[in-house]
Amino acid sequence: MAKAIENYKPEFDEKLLIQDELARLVENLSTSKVTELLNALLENGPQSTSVIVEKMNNPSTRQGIENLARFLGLAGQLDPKLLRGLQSGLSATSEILGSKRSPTFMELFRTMRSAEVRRGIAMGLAFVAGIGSKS
Amino acid sequence: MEYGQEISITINGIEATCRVGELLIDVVNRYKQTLPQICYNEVLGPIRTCDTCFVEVDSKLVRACDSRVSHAMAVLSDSPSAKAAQIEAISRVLHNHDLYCTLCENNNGNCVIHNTISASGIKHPKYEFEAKPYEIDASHPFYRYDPSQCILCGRCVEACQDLQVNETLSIDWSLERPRVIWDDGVLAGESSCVGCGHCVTVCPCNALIEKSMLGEAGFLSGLPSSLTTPMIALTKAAEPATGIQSVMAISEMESRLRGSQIKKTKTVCTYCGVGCSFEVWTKGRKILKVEPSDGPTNAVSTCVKGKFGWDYINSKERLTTPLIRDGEGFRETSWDEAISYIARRMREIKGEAGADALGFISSSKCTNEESYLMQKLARAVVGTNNIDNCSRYCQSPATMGLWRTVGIGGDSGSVTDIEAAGLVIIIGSNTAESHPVIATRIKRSHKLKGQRLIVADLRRHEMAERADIFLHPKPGTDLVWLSGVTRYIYENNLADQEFLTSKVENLENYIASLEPFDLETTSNITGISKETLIEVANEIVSAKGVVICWAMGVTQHNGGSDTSTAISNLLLITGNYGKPGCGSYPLRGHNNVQGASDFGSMPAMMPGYEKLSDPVVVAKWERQWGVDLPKTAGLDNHEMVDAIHSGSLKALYLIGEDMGLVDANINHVQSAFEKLELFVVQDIFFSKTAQFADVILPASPSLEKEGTFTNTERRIQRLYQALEPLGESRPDWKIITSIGNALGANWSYGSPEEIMDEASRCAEIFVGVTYGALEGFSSLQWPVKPDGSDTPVLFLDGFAFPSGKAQLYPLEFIEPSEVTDDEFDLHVNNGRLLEHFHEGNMTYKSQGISSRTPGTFLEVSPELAKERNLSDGSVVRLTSRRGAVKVSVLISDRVQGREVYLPMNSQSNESAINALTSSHTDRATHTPAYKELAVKMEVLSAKGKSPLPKNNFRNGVRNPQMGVLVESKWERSDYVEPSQPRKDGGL
Ligand code: SF4
Ligand code: SF4
Ligand code: SF4
Ligand code: FES
Repeated sequence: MAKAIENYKPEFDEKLLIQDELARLVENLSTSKVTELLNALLENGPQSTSVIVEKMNNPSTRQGIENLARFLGLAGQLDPKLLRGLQSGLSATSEILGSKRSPTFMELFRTMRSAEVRRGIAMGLAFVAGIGSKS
Repeated sequence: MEYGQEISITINGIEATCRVGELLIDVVNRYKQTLPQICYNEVLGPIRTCDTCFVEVDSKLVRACDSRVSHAMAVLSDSPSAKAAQIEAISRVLHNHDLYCTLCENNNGNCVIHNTISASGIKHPKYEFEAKPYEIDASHPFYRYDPSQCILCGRCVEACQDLQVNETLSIDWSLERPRVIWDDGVLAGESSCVGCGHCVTVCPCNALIEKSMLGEAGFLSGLPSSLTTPMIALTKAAEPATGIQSVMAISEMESRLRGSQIKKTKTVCTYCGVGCSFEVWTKGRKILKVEPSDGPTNAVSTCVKGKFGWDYINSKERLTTPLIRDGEGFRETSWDEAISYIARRMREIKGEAGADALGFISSSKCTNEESYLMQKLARAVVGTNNIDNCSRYCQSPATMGLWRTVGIGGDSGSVTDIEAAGLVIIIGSNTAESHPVIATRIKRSHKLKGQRLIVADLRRHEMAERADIFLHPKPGTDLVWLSGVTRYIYENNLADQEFLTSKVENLENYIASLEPFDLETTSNITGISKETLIEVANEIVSAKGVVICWAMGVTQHNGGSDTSTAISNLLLITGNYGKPGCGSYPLRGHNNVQGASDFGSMPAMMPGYEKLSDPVVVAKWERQWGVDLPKTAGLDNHEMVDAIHSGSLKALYLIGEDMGLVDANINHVQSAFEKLELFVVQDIFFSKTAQFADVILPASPSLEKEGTFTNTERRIQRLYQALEPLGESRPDWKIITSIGNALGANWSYGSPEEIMDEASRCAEIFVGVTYGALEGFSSLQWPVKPDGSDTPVLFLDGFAFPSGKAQLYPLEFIEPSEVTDDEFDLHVNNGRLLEHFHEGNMTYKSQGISSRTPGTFLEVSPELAKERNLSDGSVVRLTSRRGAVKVSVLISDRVQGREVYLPMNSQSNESAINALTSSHTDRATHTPAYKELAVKMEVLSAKGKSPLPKNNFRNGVRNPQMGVLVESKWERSDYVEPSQPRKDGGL
């Protein structure tokens, strides 16, 4: 005779939902995307940047990419602090954008002069790191 | 020139072979000529809204998706004027869509807008992006709509109106800035939207996107707008210097990086028997989305369960360690202890009472390989044929009807055959809710292609509403009207004589058995008028191909096998077998209910439906397995329950089935469980049934393992592993292998592929099945010949009997096992709901589903409500001769008179339909007669809260129209074709 055991509740360890060590680390980092991106760059960097190289065969695109790279001031290192940099850097930019009109190139350029902002934006388009190493 | 005639045309000077009538855009694509195209999608067909596909044909500009090959035409997609029109159209698209690809969750390499713009080489769009004056609509639990990103291509509308045919979406072309609207302009989350996800799947950009993708896909997505707004502005500011192609290049690089962030795994839906297949996108254990594209059955289609109902995989209610009964509770244990305990007890019970004291129940949720192993464990290791699966609860009578008449118990053809039929008859199936993607194909053919539709059902459900003829026979009398119509057809010389003469046997006996079914008697018994019966007969004989689909409304009766047989008889009399676009289609309920039986989990059949009663068959399997096999047929599920009560069955090993809730007359079943000496339950959740177990083994669901499922079309499809098994859980095939080995089996299966290889070596109908042939989205429909060729349409070369001829099978009508009387005065019908699968143990884990459908309810007709003074939310007790339930009332004109409907999505005894149902069964197969049920009703409280929340789709009001109505766009005064610049501020 085995009566139904209704009140039992199987235990559940929430950590199981985080698949592996690295992922657990990611979960603990508020800047989890940094880790994801790092992983991705490590695994897929060369293959991904090849798309840029392909596009570079087209002279006008190459010019465009070079302009963009110069404009942003290529970043050096990837750094988990960068996201914070990005935040503060761009909030300066948002001030200009707070007013309805579009920012002028010079206004944007001025905010870009701060090293922190530059670093932040570089993080924002971290792929630029890839371009940097190719061009 | 004749339609379909082969012809040569030139495209950009290249010679192209095509057929008259073919869509030009298809030819251009086949010859890989670059041509922008956004709204065109092969599954949806031409929509003609985006204007990007303009080509020059004989010096005239036309849309390639709106032109058909008519003569030896000269087509130019790259002439200056064609190019100019394409660039103009793309610029107009970019007026409606802000390009911020690197920040966008849709930038995954398959964004149609991104790829079109990239391929077009456009440097500077002519028009600036301008946001639309509407808020983002995030009211739907599963997706959100951003009007400002919407390019008004109408793909979503086409999908909703003409593919899913839920008819919720339209574009309001009368607005100054048109947008997509739900119903007549309500929020998505308060509309008639059933959440099938078609619209989201086909949207070419991020205007409609799964909420589960937001902030997850991409490295820069999910940033606060305080960051993204300036980033976008910066990129734009740089654009005059850089051009948009460089920005596209950067975002393409980012999208490739996402390759390591997001894993895409092909899998097969684990809910119903339609067998939709798709990719599931995961990031760690997070399920980002389901992306249907190339499924052989479903293409871009899904229903809400397959598209969005996956939360159960990561539910905190998952079992993650083996549990063993210990006093008043369970304790966690190791696999070693659990397995050796089970093996020891099985040996002891076998020693004391013989092998037939053990029973095995396999699951239609598990893979073919697992079903095969389970029956092998029972037969070859333990030595009993007491093996069955839950198709006993639903599908066996349909299979029986087909075995009797045509010799193979499976759908005659594919879903494409249902789609192509001239007439579809649906009997006892609410296809739109139970087999949603098959319903889409019927609804589409009915709406667009003139297909006729007859529905016979007790409820006026969606398919009934759409039908050309709706029959409401008295409960349990389908056999009678089917036989009456067949007799009328034969007597009036409307039968297919040639087919009968050359392909069918036993005509005389059969015709004699139709004697009692004259129109008069038929009409009296069924309540269907003679005129209607004649009308049905005429529809059948005048249709080009008749398909009959049926489900539980037919099978779950004491005459379930007979009615299924009557369906097949009718198809034979009218010659509707053995060619495409016709035949019989029992709609299989679970994802692998077909495969569970196919691979031998049946008491009298070996894998491949090879008969245990045939000594040659048994000898073959004995050689294959190297053991002596038990020769007498075992017990089916139903008999096992009785055998437990009588004391002859003492141990039960049950996989993936909440039998304590889904079998009929659950009080009887649950009290049987209490008597078992060993009860092993293998599941992913602590189910009602598991509460009775001695040992509970944690299994892994489909996303955590490999294997194959077989859908209702006999289609075998592979699933690949997307995630690691959660905690200590294990795939069922591994667990069964461990138990087998603990009992001395000495199995060494390293993968499901090895199991399939073994099964296909021996079972004739699978002989050509290999994993290699099932790679990716490839599939095989059994029987599969040694050379690997499969059988999409059955009976092309005759029927599966020694004579090659079909057998008409005489029948008589038997009264239902339970009918209403003065005391039990209400007839209870029961079945599924669209959004919950079965009793709901998987779908309730989805917050999005359960928030809108939190529980079951009782559908009561307006007449009955008036008579008993009921309103929405009244609480009533229904009492049958076996038990009682307490449920809330929902008044609905889907039911009539004294017929009520209680969906089975309940997880507690208090409202579970099977507390009411009886132990009566189909005479031939022991499938419970769930649908023969009389109750009395007691009102417990007249007032209460409606059991159906206001935002449930059943409360929405559809807005049917033919597609996107592009003509309304063209009629606007501010629209000009893109051969000219757009009017200032115009579309
Ligand atoms: S029913 Fe809903 S989810 Fe399905 S296509 Fe229509 S709007 Fe989209
Ligand atoms: S929401 Fe609909 S109309 Fe808008 S872009 Fe997506 S599919 Fe096209
Ligand atoms: S439940 Fe059925 S119709 Fe819905 S997605 Fe799954 S297989 Fe397709
Ligand atoms: S693809 Fe032809 S109009 Fe959109």
